[in-house]
Amino acid sequence: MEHVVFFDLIIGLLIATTVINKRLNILENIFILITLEFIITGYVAVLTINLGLWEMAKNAEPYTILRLHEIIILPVLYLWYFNLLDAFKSLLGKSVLTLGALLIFYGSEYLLVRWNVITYNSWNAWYSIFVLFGVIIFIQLLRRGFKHRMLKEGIPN
Amino acid sequence: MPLPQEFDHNEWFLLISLVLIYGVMFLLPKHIPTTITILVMIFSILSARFLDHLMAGPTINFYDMMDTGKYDLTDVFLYFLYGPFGYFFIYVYEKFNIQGLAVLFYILICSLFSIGYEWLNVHFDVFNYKNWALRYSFTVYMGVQAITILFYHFVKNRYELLKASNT
Repeated sequence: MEHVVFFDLIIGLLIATTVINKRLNILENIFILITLEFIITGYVAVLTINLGLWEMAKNAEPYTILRLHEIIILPVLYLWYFNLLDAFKSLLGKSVLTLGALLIFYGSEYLLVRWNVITYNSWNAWYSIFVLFGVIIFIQLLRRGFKHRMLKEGIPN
Repeated sequence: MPLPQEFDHNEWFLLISLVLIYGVMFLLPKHIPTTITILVMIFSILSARFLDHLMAGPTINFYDMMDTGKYDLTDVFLYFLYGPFGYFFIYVYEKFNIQGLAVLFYILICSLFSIGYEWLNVHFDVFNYKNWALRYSFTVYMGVQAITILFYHFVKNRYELLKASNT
């Protein structure tokens, strides 16, 4: 039953992401999304296949849920975060948003653990939060470079 | 991320391919704006990553890449090979203003070229097939290249709209 709820959440998230007005322009959104997809699928592969720190459930249903989580849910949540980030001008506002976003990102991973989609081996929540924060920093750096390039070519924010 | 078990023929093949392809890319006269180039290149890299992630993982495993079935450091470099290929694909498409039915023939020719290059990769043990055949890759390339053209048109259209809104 909870897995069905998960699919409902994905559809809802996708609809909301499509219809909502975004603060960043479409090219920057595409850049963030496709870069995130590459990074997230990469670290999930390292944690599951290479290091065995996350054990994946073998059945088709949990496998699909994990794939949907790394390909749709997490990247789209990050996209929301980066769009909202520009709305906050003060450092305090940005910090609170980042903290809240990390909790939501981890919350989505926690659901995977709770539903036995993944099982932690010598891994804990703090490591995940650290990795999720690392992704924010990395994307933020790449995003700045891309933004700089866009401005040089006369594309406004 | 594991390093290669041995730096042998497949790593050398990958390294030489990277040097050659990036060399040609930087020597070519610029024809597509850098912003679009970046997006097309990442899109091409991501297409390869997605397909490998879904088809060469532990649950569904049609093939392995490089020395192990794991996500090696050399796998990452292998993905960076797809970026310039995507760029060349769009570069020629744009340069010769390919339109109409010619698009289909262009995709067919590029897919044939791609399986030719993949055959070389198999020969040099970059790809190790398990339940996969070169013929299947042709179908995948056809689909991916068609999507790449759609993606390019979408991005180009938005790029021009954004640029026009700034003037």
